[in-house]
Amino acid sequence: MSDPAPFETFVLNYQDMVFSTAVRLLGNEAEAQDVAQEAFLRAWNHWENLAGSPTAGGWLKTVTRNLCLNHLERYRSRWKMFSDLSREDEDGEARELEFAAPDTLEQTLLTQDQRQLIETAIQKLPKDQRVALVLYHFEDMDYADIAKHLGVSLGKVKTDIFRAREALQKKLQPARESVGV
Amino acid sequence: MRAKRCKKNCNPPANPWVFDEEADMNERQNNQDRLAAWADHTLKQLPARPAPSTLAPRVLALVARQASAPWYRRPWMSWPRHFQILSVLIFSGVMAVVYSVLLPQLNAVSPTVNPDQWAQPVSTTVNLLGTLGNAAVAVLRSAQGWVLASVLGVVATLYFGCIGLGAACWRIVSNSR
Repeated sequence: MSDPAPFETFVLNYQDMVFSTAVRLLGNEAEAQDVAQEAFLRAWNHWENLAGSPTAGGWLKTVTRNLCLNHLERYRSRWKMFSDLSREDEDGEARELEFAAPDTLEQTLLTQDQRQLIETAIQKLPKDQRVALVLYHFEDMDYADIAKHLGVSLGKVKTDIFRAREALQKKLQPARESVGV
Repeated sequence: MRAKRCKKNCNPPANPWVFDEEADMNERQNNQDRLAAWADHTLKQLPARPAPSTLAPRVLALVARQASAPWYRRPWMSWPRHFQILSVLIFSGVMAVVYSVLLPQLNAVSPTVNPDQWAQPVSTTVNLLGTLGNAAVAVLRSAQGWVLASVLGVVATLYFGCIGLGAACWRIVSNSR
């Protein structure tokens, strides 16, 4: 087997990327850690091919994304029940935050608090909306690819993403008078 | 809120409350585009979320354990190449032996089947199942209670033996955990 030392560097370099992808798709930190661990173990099992490869990061991201989608598919019914329950509990405590209107977004830079609130808002989105939104905006997949990966219609993907954006904006930007959206 | 009235009863250019379907669709599309741009701009600014401090040690501990394990305790995919080839050859040999032993037996059980008919798996299966069914009915009519219990016990043992064997094979091939 290979020498673990370079692999340790690899893990340290990519752990944030892997964890981010997993936690945004799954909406659960504990499950995201499990998936991240599995992704790195797969990387270790293919380390002979990955070591020194410039595409190792992309490979790892794709593996993580696929593991997350498999995980969501496998635990769909159980996951749905728990996420619906938790959303009911959390709906009442949404914090308000003002963002600049879209017209001025070029000048908008997010503060640490705002980033934290966006992450929380993403986590609270319904599963279908969150997964589609994350695949589109973070994974740079197009609508057709997302529909193919999730096994749903193109129309559903578009609707889910639109609703997710609307929900995010409603949660994060209550003062929307000047926005016109 | 925007009033929606029929064009027919109004003067489109003069009345600002006229519902212009095309303009309305364009405006909706613009709003959706602006929303999409806002979402993309906002989400793209998010940095990667820092992984928990326990993640890397957890992964490295597992990797160390896996690296120190003998090759046969690792997933089949990470076995040394020559052992992979050898295991495939052995498995193929075992399957060939089983097939060559079982095929004459199956032909004996179902006399209507000859070697040429193995190209027709459906009819072969139907014949075989029919023969087995007749045999089972004959056994049920003549057998005592303890015989039936013994047969069921053997079947159950074989069934759970297969599950255990399957689980062991799966653990070897897929993951060492």
